[in-house]
Amino acid sequence: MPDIKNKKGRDVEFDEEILKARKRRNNINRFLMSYFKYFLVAIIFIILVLSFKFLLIPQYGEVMFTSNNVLQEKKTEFILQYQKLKDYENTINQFNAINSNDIYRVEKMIPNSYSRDDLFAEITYFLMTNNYKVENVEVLSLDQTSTTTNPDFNLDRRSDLKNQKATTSTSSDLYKKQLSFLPDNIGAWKIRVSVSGVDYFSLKKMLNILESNLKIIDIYYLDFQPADRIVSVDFLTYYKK
Amino acid sequence: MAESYIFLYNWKKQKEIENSYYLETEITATELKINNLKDQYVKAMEFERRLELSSAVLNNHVYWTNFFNFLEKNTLKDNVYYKSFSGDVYGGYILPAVSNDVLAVNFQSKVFSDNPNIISSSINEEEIVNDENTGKTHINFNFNFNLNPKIFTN
Repeated sequence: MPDIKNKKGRDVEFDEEILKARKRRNNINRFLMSYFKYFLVAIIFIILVLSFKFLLIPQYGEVMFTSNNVLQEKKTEFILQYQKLKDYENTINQFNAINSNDIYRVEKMIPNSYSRDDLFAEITYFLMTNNYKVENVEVLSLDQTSTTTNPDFNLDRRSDLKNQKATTSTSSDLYKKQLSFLPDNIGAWKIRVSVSGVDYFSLKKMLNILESNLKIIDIYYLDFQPADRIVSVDFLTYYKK
Repeated sequence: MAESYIFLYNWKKQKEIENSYYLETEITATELKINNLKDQYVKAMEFERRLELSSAVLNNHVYWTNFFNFLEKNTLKDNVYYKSFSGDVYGGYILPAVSNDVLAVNFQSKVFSDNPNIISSSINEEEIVNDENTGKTHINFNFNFNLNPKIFTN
């Protein structure tokens, strides 16, 4: 009997618990039914805010940045082109303001590369027209200094070869120091000239003529024997490589 | 939201295209002007480079007339004569000379020693020569001196 009583008691407790649970669920459902729309609105609002913050704002920023970036690049490109144009115009205006005679003079000072034959003829003719008795003219390119001269172009072939042997040991390297001051893109010809019938005054005149010649001539070695009235000069003349 | 995102994406692309044409006319016009001036510019620049080369050479241009003027100015006119000259532009010289007066040789040496352009000077190989025919005496000597090489380029 007591077992039957106990069983009834447990069933009653179980039923009460089920009732309580149902009541709780009903309360929740009632609550949700009453406030569902508010929850929905809140969730949608949160989704909107997050999307706005993490998608739209960065995308808008990117639009603005890209737009400004392209504009800035174009502006920079235009400024660079404009500066280049102004630079061109300034350089050309400065060049046009130079007297054509001055341009000619500067081009003559350091002419473009020319042949050894031209130089030989030019130097010989230049001295002869100034009434100097030219005994020997020897022209050597410094790009190929070790090669021999072309004796056919010397006025006196034998005397040239003799002089070459006699003087290479004394003055053959002197020009190097002279060249060391100059930019690399300047080439030079080494010339040796012997002139006879020269006294001190005609030597000074000759030096003056060579020094003030439009094509720059730098004498680096000079030998004057008044008793024999002979002068030998070694000099460099230049060209643009 | 998706539409907004797509709108912004398309807007970005459109802006890129629109802005790529910004200043395009001006840039093209400037480039055209530059191209038209190119030949003149190259010629001017070539001249400028040549001028620089000429200046570099002219800065070291050698004037032997400076040297002989210096020698004339600092030599006793009536007493000392140079027999010959052989030398380069680097300043060291040995000049064979002759004088008709012993005191003049000494004085000449002092004139050179006192000159600021002469670094050092000395006299050697003196030789006194008596000419029996004329009864006159002269002195042969060598004049050694080191000159400031800048005299050739100043």
